[in-house]
Amino acid sequence: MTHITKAPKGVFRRSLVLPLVLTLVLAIGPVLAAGCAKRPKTYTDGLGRTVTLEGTPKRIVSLSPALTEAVFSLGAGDRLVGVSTFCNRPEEALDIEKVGDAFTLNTEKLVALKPDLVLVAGSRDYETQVEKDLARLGIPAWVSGPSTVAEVLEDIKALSEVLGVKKKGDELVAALSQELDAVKAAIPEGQEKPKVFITFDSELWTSGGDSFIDDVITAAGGLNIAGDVKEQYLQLSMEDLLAKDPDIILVAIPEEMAEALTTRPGWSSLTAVKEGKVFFPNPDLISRPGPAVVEGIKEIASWLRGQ
Amino acid sequence: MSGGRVTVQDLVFRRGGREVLKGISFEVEPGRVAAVVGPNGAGKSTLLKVISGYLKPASGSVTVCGVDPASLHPSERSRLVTYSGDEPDPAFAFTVQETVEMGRVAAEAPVSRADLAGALEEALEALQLAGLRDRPITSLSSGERQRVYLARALYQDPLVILLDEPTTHLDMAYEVHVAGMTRDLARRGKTVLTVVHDLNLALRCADRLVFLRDGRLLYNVAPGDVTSEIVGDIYGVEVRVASHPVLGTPFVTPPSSRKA
Amino acid sequence: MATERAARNQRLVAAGLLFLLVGLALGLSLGSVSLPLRYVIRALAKGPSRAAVPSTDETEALAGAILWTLRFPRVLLAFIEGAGLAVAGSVMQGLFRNPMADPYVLGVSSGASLGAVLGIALGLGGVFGMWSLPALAFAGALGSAALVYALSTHRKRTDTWTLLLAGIAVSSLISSLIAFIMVIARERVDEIVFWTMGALSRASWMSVAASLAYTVPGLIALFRHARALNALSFGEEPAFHMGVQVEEAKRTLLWTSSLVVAGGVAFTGPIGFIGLIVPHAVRLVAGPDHRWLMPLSGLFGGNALLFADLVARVIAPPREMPVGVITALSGAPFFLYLLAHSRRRRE
Repeated sequence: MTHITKAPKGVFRRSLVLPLVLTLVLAIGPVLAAGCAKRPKTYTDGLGRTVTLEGTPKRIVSLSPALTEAVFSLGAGDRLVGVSTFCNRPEEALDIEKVGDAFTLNTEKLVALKPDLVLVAGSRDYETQVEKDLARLGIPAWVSGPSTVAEVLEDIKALSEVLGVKKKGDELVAALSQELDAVKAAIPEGQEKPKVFITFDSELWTSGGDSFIDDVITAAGGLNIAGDVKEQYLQLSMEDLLAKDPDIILVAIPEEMAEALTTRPGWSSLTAVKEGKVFFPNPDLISRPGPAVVEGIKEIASWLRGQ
Repeated sequence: MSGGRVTVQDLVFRRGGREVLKGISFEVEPGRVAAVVGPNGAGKSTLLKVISGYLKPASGSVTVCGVDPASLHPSERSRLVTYSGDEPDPAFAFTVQETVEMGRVAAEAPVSRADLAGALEEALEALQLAGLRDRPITSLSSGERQRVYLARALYQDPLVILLDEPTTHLDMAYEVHVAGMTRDLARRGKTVLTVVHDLNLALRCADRLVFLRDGRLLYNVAPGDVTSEIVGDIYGVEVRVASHPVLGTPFVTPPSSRKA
Repeated sequence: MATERAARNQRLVAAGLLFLLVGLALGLSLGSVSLPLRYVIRALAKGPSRAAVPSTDETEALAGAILWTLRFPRVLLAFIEGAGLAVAGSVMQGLFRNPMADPYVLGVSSGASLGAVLGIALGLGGVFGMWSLPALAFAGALGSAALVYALSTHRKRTDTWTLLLAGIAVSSLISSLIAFIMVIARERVDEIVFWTMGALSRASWMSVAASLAYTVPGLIALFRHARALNALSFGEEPAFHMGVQVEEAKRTLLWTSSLVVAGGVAFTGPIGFIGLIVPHAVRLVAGPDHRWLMPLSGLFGGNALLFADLVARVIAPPREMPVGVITALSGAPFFLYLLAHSRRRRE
């Protein structure tokens, strides 16, 4: 026989409160917790696309040597958990786990590192395979593709915001801008700019008017002899070179391989060669759209001024 | 000079582990025509190729004019002996005349232009090719090509000529013509060994008939001595040997029905 | 008719020489920088040392430099190499009794590519100065030819069928090796690809001298075997009976043409279609007699490469196309035309 005991009025009201509160907590709690711990933010990357991140990235993989250098310059190098095989500056980057490069990404390795942000070198004109892979994997990618020195500085600023080190970013960009202005100031007014030919291999491939290098040369106070061609890369013939006769030649090739270039028929007939105005810039300094490019520009400017 | 005497002694030839010629011995006098006859696979072509120096025997000896042709320098050998048989389809359009002229590609002895031209005309005429001399060889029928290769061998003019079934693509008229040609060659002092598939043709043009079966030489006789027993033994067919009504040479008629 | 043919072939020689003259004139005056013919003649007349003296006339000074250091050796190298390739092609076609054979049958071009690619990938480009890559390419070419030859020769007899198949197999193997190297040495891929497309841009007087040194004796040796080659084109057995020293002739012809081709490819990278098309086309007009075919192929092969290189230099300024691209683009359609034409003739 069951006993039905009627509860007293006060007890009923009291016994309702606890379950109600519990339900509320259970329902709202997670929402609140999520809100407190991770607030999604949107940023713009170097190509103007929006990147959504949940909080400040702590595990970063960089597939771009230029961006690796930028991260280190911003003091966030300790947050890099993976870099590309070409990332060789600064020295600390050599000790970081390698995940391949911009062309062949080892996706397994990448995923195993559990990154919350991947820095990629890309272009406005097309989407690289790496970007597609990252989208498929659902990993946020911050893409950069500066085509001028000014854009490099802008990208450093934007990157500093993403990394949560805006102040350091502003300082860095200000310092770099100052150095660039000094170079500009030292360029003599009214004089004709020295003609510059730059090459990266022994087959006379050079950078055209649309390239980053072209802007580097201009910033250093020179005139790229291939600058009138609106392309990124083009090949000149030795005849072209003889006809254009540059004042300064920059050979961005490791010195032991430069012999293949300097033994080409016609090379010794070039004015710049005869006058000893052939220099060997470090390709990592001038072709990488990163903070170190300012060093490269200063070096080129000093060679140009030595004229 | 012993003339073009061909001597074969205990010749053994192996191919792929099998003995194709099992100890063949015979001799052909200079200025004679010897016909090599026998059933398919008897080793007739192989015999000629060994004599020419192209194939090397496992044992035994071959001498032409007292010398082993295989031991000679190719240009010397080509003046001594040549072999003419079926050839693969020609790849390039040499003219008939150019093809025949190649018979003397290895010739070293200085011969006057006039003599060469004369010999060329003779060779072309012998095979009735004068009218075809500028035709590309790729445009000829197999019979015409066969005549061209024969003419080339004639132009080469060695002492011993080995002919391997020279009339397979030729019609009846040319068969007779070639038979006459071999007799002419013999009259001029050449030695001719010819593989003939038609026994009657052999009986008409040869001085000796060499019968092969299964790589063995079973009979070496003059045409007049060919009997139906010999033919039966070699071919396994019962025949009647009669005298040709016009030529007087023996000829063979196969039976009207199979041997029982 | 024989005399007709001889007369016609003599006319062909004259035509070939005329083309050569025109080719030289155009090749020396045209390029990324157009030089008027009078400057060309003046610079040529002055000679290399006097042309290098700076002149008040800027164009003349430029002409002197360009002509003597760049264009003249380049034009000569084009002719020499084109001649070598075409003659070697005619030899291969006769030996293999196939008008579709080309001079790279023994894997010479892939071997040369492998040698050069290894050199580029390992950064050996400067070890012996300008000679390192050609030396490596030459070694690769000969190595490949030796391998193919060894695979097909048994007891001093070389089987042509096996030669063809072994050549294909070795070439495929080498191609995959090259692909492998290209993946590993990604930074040098551009250089590697460029080399394998065939280019005359590095022509110098040294390379011209070297080319002459192996091409001239090579071609002489090959021409001396013209009659033997005629006989061989009927088959090895018929040639044997005609008195040709078959194995010796084959060996000499194969190796000499491979050497000539290897030497050429070592300097410029593989250039295709000249060795295949030119002898084939010349044979259609001049007949299959190698005593005419070989020298005429040489003459027209040299001209063909000369003109192809000219096109390569002017077709897409300021770029210089690799000449191998031009020979392929013009060679393949021409080849198809020849094919269709010969089929129609036969019908």
